[in-house]
Amino acid sequence: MMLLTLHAVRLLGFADTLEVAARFSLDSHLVESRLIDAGVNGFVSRSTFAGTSGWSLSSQGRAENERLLAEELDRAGARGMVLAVHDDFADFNTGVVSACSAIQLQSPATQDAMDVLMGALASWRPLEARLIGLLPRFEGYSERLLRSLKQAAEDPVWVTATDRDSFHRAWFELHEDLIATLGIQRA
Amino acid sequence: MTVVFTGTAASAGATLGPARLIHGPDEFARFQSGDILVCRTTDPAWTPLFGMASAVVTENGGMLSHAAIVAREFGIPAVLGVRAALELLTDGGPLAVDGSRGTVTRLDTA
Repeated sequence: MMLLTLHAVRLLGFADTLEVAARFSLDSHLVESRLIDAGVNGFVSRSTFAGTSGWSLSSQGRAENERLLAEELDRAGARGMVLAVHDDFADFNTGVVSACSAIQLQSPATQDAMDVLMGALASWRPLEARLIGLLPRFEGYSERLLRSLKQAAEDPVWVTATDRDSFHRAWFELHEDLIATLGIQRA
Repeated sequence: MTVVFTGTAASAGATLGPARLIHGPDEFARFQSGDILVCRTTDPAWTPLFGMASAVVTENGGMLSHAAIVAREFGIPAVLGVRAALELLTDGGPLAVDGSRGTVTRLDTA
């Protein structure tokens, strides 16, 4: 429970109690209790940015999150598999970020870029299926990515917007999830 | 003498403001609206700061990085991949950031 609570805060970056609970479909009252405990231990803090209050992870909380993730990884015997998935992810991450940038900058090759994103989603699906066999908490990224692409077909802001669950937001979160799970630093 | 640092021009536009050197989430509370965010790298936790920043300068990253996309989304200039920015820039010191040219100018040395 503490692992998923801290990890939800890590992935969301800055979020209120209900958002933290919803990330892994946890009971909001229990999550609130865990967040208070985590606050007492210096793992999270509550603050206000631009009129919005929420929880964020401290450096100490980040370290505790990574300690719990490492324990989970070893318990599941999943380190080798997650490393392999991360390597595959890294191979098409550059293309995804490039395609997101092209759409954001309204380059003439927008349709090609959308094709890249659809191809990335197709490539990610079997990787997610492998991951959730050992680490079920990875479930859901494919559905979020697909949902955002469907929305983007009507309105391209769904590719990179920060005020909704856009393709880039879900992808960025997925990248952070893999990095955090492996305890590696962002390049 | 004006000291100019260069990096990747990742999000267009130019602005002036105080540098705010942020080493991690524990320092987020120091960040004020209008500050120029100077950091090593970013992850999803840093996105709210982009909403308050007048510009972003990072040590890592480039044109094809998550930070570039988020900065463009907020419409703020970004110069990424400025080597040793956290050592070379001064917290609170006035900066000029040109995200179209990829330059960061320390105005306190002019």
